[in-house]
Amino acid sequence: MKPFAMRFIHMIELRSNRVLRLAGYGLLILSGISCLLALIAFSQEATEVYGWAPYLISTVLLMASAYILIPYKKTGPQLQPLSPQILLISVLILAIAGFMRLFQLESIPFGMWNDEAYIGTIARYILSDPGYRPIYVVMYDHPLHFYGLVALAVKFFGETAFSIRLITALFGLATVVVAFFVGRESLGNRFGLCLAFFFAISRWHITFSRFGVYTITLPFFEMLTIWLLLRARRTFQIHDFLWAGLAFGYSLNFYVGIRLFVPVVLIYIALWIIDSLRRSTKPSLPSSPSWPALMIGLTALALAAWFAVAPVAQYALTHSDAFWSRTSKVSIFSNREESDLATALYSNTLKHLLMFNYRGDPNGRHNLSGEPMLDPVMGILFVLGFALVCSRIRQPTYALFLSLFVFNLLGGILSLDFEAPQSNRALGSISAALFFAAISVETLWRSLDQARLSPDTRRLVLLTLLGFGGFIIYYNASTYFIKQVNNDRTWDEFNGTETLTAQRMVAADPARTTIYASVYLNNYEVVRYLAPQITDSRGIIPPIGLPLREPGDKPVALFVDRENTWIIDEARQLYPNANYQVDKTPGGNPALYSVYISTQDIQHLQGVTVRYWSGDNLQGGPVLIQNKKLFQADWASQPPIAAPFIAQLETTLYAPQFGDYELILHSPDRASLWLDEQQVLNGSGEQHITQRLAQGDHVLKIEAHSGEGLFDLQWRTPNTNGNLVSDPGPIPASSLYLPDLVTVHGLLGNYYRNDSWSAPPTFTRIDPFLNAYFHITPLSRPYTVDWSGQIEIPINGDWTFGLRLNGQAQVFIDHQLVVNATEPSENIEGKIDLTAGNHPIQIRFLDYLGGSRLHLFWTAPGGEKQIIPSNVLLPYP
Amino acid sequence: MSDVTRWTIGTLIAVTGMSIGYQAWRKRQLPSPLKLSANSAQADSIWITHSMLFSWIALGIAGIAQYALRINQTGFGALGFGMAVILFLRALNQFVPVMQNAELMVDGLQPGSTSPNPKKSIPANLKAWWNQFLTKRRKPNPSLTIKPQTMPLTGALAKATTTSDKDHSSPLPAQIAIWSGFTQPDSILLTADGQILIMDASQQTIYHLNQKGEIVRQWSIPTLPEPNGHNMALSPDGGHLYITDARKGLVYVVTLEG
Repeated sequence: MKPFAMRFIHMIELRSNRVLRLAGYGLLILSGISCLLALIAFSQEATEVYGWAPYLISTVLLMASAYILIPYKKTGPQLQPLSPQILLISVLILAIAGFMRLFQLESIPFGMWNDEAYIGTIARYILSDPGYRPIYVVMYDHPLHFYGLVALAVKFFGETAFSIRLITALFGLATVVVAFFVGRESLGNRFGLCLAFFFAISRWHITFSRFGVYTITLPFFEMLTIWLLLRARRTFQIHDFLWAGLAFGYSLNFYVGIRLFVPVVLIYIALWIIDSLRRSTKPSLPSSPSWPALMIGLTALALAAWFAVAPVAQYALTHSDAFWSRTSKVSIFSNREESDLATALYSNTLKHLLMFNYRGDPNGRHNLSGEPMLDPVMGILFVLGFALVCSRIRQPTYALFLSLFVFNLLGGILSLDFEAPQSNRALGSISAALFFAAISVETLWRSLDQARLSPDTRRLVLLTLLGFGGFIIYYNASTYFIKQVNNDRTWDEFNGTETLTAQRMVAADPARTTIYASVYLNNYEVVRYLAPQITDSRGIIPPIGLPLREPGDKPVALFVDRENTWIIDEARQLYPNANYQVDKTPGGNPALYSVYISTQDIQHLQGVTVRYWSGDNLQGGPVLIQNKKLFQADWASQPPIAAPFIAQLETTLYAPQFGDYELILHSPDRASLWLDEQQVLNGSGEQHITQRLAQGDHVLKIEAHSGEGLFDLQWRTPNTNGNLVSDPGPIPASSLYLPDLVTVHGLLGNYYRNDSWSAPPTFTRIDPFLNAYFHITPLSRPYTVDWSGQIEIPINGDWTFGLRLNGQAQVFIDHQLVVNATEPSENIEGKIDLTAGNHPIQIRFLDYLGGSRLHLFWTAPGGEKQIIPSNVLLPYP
Repeated sequence: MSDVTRWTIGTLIAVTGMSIGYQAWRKRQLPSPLKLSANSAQADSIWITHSMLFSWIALGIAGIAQYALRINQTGFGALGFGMAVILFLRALNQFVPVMQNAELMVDGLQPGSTSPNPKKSIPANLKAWWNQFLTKRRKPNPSLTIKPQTMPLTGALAKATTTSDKDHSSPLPAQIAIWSGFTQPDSILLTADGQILIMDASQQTIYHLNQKGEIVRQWSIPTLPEPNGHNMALSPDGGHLYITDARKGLVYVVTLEG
């Protein structure tokens, strides 16, 4: 029995001191109880907050018990000592890595991606709500661990991009350190330095170190686990197995892509076990600790891993749908553009294999769009090193890195094909790629060592190598800091426009200014995170644009992205005196338009135009024209001209929503009221009419004769259901616009919450034009719309009408079907011969697909295709 | 044919021509390694130098291939990388490091060493390379004579320390003395009169220690490859040292002078 036990006695040899032994046992039992308590607490949503302390303590107690029970001894082959020279070079590499990762971290790259904002938002919840401590953040598909670290940074450094990115930068920096230890454990100090250097200056790694999302944890935990596994294999100390287990277990609490690391570790352990069994049966092979000793070590590894991952594993088992939802969302098996799976997989594989040297990730957040992921020198070394490693695949560490490479690439290959190559989900492969590159260097260096070159030649070769080192530092740094971060695509992908919007909104003094933004910018996640004080900004949702429906008591700041410059065009027409500013991208292209509109500019459009004729009829021209703010007048005490007279009041009446409106007209004498060219009131004294109005602008005209008493027009407005509820009151300035400045144009749209235009419509609305991508759909799909009105044809001839759409649509002119689009189309056209003048027009649209859009255009005889302008469309028959 | 294509092909031809020219020049300057049996150290040196040269040519070709990819000449890029990989593997196959972790002591590979494989290495000249390609193996003369060196000796290797294990529950069976200072002592031999020969394979040196553990002389044997589990035996008269090289399938008979 003793010889068998002696084989692994150093692993389980307990301390001789009885008190320490008892203390160790006690801590071990406590750690188990603590883990159990954590699991119980995390099993209920209400008690999750109490689970964290026992969970974290359990791993600390486990390690403490191991060190107290079993003394740590230096066993196995010893590594090369760390000479002052090695330490100096290490510090130099770390300094380079630190600069690359921390230099102007707040503003480089400029902007903030949505996921960074989400992470910041969760950190904000954690800090503001002590009861918010879920083990898994379902909303963003990750355990809370990473968010917790970010919350810590936010607590100390504030709610800035820097705080979020500091955590990822530190993970990146730590990976450089761990890479050194992996290299040292594998082939000595020189290899460790080489591997750390490659990590330090790899643009791919720098990019993700400066990007505040969880992905950067992937190479860190992979390298950490590999280092500790190699160390455990060398020392065969139970403590090292436990550390390896902890690293492996904790890794599973971070980025979801780490799940592909599990088979890598399992394969390595399986090979380890096979090797151990092989040695035990073949005495000719060099001896190693026996397989029972290995089993003890691996059991310790599994135990530590379980302690670290148990709460998340419990969640995964009880909420498998939520746990795997992110994976299924991005899986090529459930979501892809290419219909044939085999073709999609082949294409994805090829793109991912070529991304290192040929064409990299097109996403500007992950890469300088399309640029290979590795610089030319590292790219070459990677290919050659890959071949060298393949030629030594029987060596377990080489096999480990090869499997690491393959499984991590699968993270990209098995995800959405239209994003390929995906350097984010395949980020773990960077560890293997840089390992391969470093193997090339190590092999070359060994050949130099053996070559017995003359000292001068040796110096020359070393200088050449140093020159290459300097070149790749310069190449990676300049590519990232000059080209990549100043690339428009990178700028856009990091929400440069949205970040600027948030900055401009905050600078616009939102307490005293009404904030408007185009549909993409309004209430955007990043804007909400960066400008939390903006709580009531208003969106401009096409096709409804300007004028601003504001009372005019506060100035307005309007922010428009470059996809919606039609708003700026409208603004320049309506508010020519406003202050216009343009922020540009690093490439000099317009990014954000800011318009600052004063109260005077807003009020300038509002009111009623009143024309006065002397006498009892409208012969001749008006003797006086006035713009009034409201429909109220006291002609008896303040006559504008000498009585008798006729006043013609005209305005563009804005109905803020669809529904029944009651108009109440008081006139001292006879008065008539026309709404949308239809006379609806004619009489004297108090007159009422209840009319169902579409949301939007309407032509309102009144002719009133002078007399004793007040002239007044009031209204009652509907609630959200379209029913009249409010008390009578004066029509506010925000619903009255001078007809010369705000004209009524567009088509009347009836919107149906069904796919068959079945009445009654859910709402009706006057849409100024039909040229919109429906970022926010008016109704949930499927829905239908029927636009009708008149179109003013300027000249006789053959007119071509066309559609670009996602959905189905028909265009009728003069009640004839001109365009019939039965499926999505980029351009479908039809011709009709028309005479100059107004013609009835009708468009029927069925939206049942995503990416809703409808663009209506025409081509005049001999002219060019253009979107039908708003001013030739009239919303009434 | 585009400029890039012409340039790529031209560069490849130029590199190949330069390599052949260099080989021819080396052939004139030095005897063929097949004739170098009397001085295999020199032959190995040439061999290694040529391996290094070919590896740098492989790097150059890979550089051209990388450039070809960059300008979207994917066919040339793939071809170039293929050539570079083959050349690189053949040139440096013997220098691919073996992991120093204990796990890697598989099939006789020693941790931290390189893994020589003469069958796949680039030898001294094209003729020998061609011979190797036809699976003919270069057989250096295993017999050589080495004179002792007259380097000043230091006592560093003789330093002995004693360790004990305080946590061990049972008494120590014996004290342990450790000689430190070796890089990778690969083999040890005790002579009949109690003197010691230690081979430090990574330094390719054999140390002769007297009974007190002091170095009395040392020999440098540059023909020995990397540490590889060599065995040593001494002739009864002490004049010849027999060293096995399991990797190359050779036995060196070293005549010890002095």
